[in-house]
Amino acid sequence: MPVQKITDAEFENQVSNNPKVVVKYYADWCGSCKLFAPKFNRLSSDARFSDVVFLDINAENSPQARKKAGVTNLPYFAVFKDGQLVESVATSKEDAVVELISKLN
Amino acid sequence: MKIPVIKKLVETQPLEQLRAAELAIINEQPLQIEIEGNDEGEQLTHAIAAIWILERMNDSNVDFKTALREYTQKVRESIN
Repeated sequence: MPVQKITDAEFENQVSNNPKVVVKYYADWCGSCKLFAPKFNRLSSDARFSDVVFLDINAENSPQARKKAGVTNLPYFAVFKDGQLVESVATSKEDAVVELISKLN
Repeated sequence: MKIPVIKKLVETQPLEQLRAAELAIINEQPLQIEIEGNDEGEQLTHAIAAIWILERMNDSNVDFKTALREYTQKVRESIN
């Protein structure tokens, strides 16, 4: 499933209406976020995560979504199951994101 | 992110070199200028910051301190 770029306006709807969601919070000033983008795209097409919705949110412009996950640094990742935050992590390591997404199972 | 590194880049590198460095890091190419950082992500953050500040200084005719303050405000807003 391709990564969808969304804002605060669509956040609640996406998280509530999809059983499994992973969110990447980024900002245009964040170098590690830019470097992680191709990895996140790759993970979104990984067969292991075919039932997971991948969202990209600009943390600078989306305060509500940012607060929902308690963003403390960037890039920041959060997984939501049935509308509820399961876990989140600030990391630039792909392995840590894979481990986080696996917590949706 | 280290402010002294960003300040040094703003003071010593022209915009074109910084933009080239930004592209080089994204494309995993060797850098033509030295950019300090713990990893490529931090190096890229420093390059993007220096570019943003230089553009702000040029476009809005503000000094380094003012542009830096605006930049750090942006960063703070993203993670608060």
